[in-house]
Amino acid sequence: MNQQRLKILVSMVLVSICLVSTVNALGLGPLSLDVTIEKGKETDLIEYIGVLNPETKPIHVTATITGSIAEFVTVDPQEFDMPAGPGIGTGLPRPSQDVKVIFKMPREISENRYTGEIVFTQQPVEGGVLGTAVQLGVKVNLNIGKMATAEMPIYITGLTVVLIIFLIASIVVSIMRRYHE
Amino acid sequence: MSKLFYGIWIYSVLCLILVFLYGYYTEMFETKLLNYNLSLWSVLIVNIVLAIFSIISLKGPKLLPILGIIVVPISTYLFYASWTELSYVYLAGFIVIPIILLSVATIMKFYEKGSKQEVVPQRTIPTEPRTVTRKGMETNY
Repeated sequence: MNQQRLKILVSMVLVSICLVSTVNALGLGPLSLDVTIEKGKETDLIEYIGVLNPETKPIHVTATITGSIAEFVTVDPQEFDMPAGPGIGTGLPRPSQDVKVIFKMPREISENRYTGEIVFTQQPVEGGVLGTAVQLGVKVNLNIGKMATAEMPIYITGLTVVLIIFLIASIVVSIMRRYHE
Repeated sequence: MSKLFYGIWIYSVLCLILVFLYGYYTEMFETKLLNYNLSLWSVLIVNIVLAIFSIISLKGPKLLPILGIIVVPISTYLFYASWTELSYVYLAGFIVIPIILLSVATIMKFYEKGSKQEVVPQRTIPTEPRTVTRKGMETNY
């Protein structure tokens, strides 16, 4: 019985070690982006994703966009190098890079929801121990909300009011003249 | 004049509706329909109304009908440009046109009616029927 418990404990420790090593391969935050934009309006929106290097060796990261969001979303920079980090548990700040996610939505869109993923690939670098590429993705949900309303400038509102006043005034003048006849 | 006055009034109301539609991006100007240039067609229809009323009224005073015919293409261009180039300056120009037309039409209507009222009707003085007496002629000296 005790031997079985020991086996379970050892396997749990092994699994957690495996998980820790996977998570620490590349630090990303946030892990999902939910964006809602108004329908029928050109929208330029910028969000940021933070990328951390917890490794003690320099890494090269490439960002690619997959899914239906690909036609509207771009990232800047698409590729970048990150210096070696201090490692886990040192308490020192790890090297980070902010990646700009640009949503450029045209007025004419057909769907009500676009989904996809921004995949960050950690490429092996020369001189590093890392042999295989590691990928981590940020899920992106792009929701098309209610119809946009134009924020009209004050002079347009003013001119509209003047037009309404003129319409009323002209009818009043017409009725008065007819009455006097 | 009366036809054109009401024509301009209807045109102004239609312009106002177009401005409200523009402001709220209703279904009319929505995405898929934009492919058919609905903004252009809608403003063309509105301006054709003005053009028809202007042409009909050409027999009377010429100023307002000619002004109406001139502003038709300008108004169409301004609204279409405001939609395609997303510029409110063009939209402002589009709103100014019915304001000008309406003010000119109202002033003209006011003075047209006013001048008729100022005309003093000729009073006919009732005269007694003249009787020709031929007394003198009948007298014989």
